[in-house]
Amino acid sequence: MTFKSETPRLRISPVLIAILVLAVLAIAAAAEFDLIDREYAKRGVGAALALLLLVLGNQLPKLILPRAVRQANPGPVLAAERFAATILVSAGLAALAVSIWWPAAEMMALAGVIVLAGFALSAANWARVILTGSAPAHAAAAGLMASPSRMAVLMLMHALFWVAVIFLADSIWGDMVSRWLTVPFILINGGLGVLFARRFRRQA
Amino acid sequence: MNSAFKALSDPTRRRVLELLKQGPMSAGELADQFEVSKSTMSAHFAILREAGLVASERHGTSVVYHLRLSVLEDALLGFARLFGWEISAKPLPGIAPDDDKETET
Repeated sequence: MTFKSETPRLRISPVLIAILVLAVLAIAAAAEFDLIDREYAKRGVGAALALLLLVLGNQLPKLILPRAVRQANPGPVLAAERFAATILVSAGLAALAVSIWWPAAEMMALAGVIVLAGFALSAANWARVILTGSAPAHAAAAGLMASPSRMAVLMLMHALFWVAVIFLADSIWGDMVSRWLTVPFILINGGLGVLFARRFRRQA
Repeated sequence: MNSAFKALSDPTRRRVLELLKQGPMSAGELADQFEVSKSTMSAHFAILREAGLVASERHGTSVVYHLRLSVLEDALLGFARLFGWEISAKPLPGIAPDDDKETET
């Protein structure tokens, strides 16, 4: 079953996402080689990551669920996704403002808290939908992993979640703890990659 | 983005989007909510689809429409509804100029 509205406009997002990811890497590299001031680098990386969250959240409701999932229980799942998208866009906007204007000393911690609060609110709403029986857990999970583009968005969101955790940990406990936090990120991301690849093969 | 602005500038199309927020609906169910001809509704659907604000899917003999609004487009829809925003434009092919006036609430 194909949808009739796959407009070329949607292709802008992957390009925009790639540009933002490259911008983060370029700023980090420039700071490492002392080409730009470290404070500006932190602000630049924070702003680019906030924009990435904004773009992903904005596009989330445009990623239509496959027919089987829609027919299973579309209303509550779609409502939960729309809520999550709105919360993540708001968190992205707030984190962007903080990255640009907030005093440098607390900027990373505050941006991290805002992004984590956005993820926590979205997750709490998903949990409410599942626990109240509005939508079965398998329908909600199937919705999140229903297509390759959804899996890609989920993996990017997962990466952003860990970046926020690392930002916060770095501000509170310093470099050593934040370095160790890359271990669970790599492990969980690898696990997600395997899970998505298997699911994608089954769908294909 | 220009096509999204154009699509949101019409009260009938905005109403279609509001109805689709409740869930997917067939073209017939949507058309029943308006006192306009089928060809006019088809033209409105085509504009919404072209702007990427809805997706359509054929179920047997009927066409079912799904909402496909990004968060930004949803916010624009809210603004448009709040301020009764309309763009004066030439009548679109297939849409009679006075057809929509009956549907405004």
